[in-house]
Amino acid sequence: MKHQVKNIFIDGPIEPAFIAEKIAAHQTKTAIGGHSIFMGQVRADLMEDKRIAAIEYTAYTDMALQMMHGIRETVIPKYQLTCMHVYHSLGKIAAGQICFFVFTSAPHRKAAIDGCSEIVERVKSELPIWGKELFDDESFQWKVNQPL
Amino acid sequence: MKELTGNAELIFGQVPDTDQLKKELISSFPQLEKLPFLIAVDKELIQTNTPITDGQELALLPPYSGG
Repeated sequence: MKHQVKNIFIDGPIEPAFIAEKIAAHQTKTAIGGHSIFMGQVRADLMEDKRIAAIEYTAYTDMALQMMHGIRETVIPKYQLTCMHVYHSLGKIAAGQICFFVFTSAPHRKAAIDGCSEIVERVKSELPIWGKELFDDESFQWKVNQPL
Repeated sequence: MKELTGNAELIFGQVPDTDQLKKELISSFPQLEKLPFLIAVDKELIQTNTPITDGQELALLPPYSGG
């Protein structure tokens, strides 16, 4: 089944209420037996004497959405997912806020968990998205992703 | 990259292919030589030297750090 290219970007943080709504929306899909959720949260890392106050995300959105579409088209059949939802923030996200949300559902838990994990890894390594770490003293550095 | 080059968009004259583009970029902005980046032509990553034709969208992509 071919799906249309969906937008994954949200301006600003991903609110907990938005995540709750997404969970609630699946109560009518009774073929689902397991959900898996990953949420990325901005961490207030300490670098010497300064602390990360926020991360400002930018993306090459057209290319990112095209890449995400390719990921979706391979991951859904690979794990036989009933559905998957991916959201990523753009703009300034304060420490403690949610900036990345992946939600997969399948008849059984393993598919949902493994599918979710593959999506998280691939979004972080394949999508042209950049995080600028803003310190509390207004200096910044470009984020470097950890291998795991 | 914007910080190094001072611009979000760069305008070049005729550049036949991506290898030549890389050379011209590094000669204009020598700091780019130390910065790892990938090139996308019309939103597709290229792995090898690729001819550039009129009207294509080229993007220089530093290492990704989403999530």
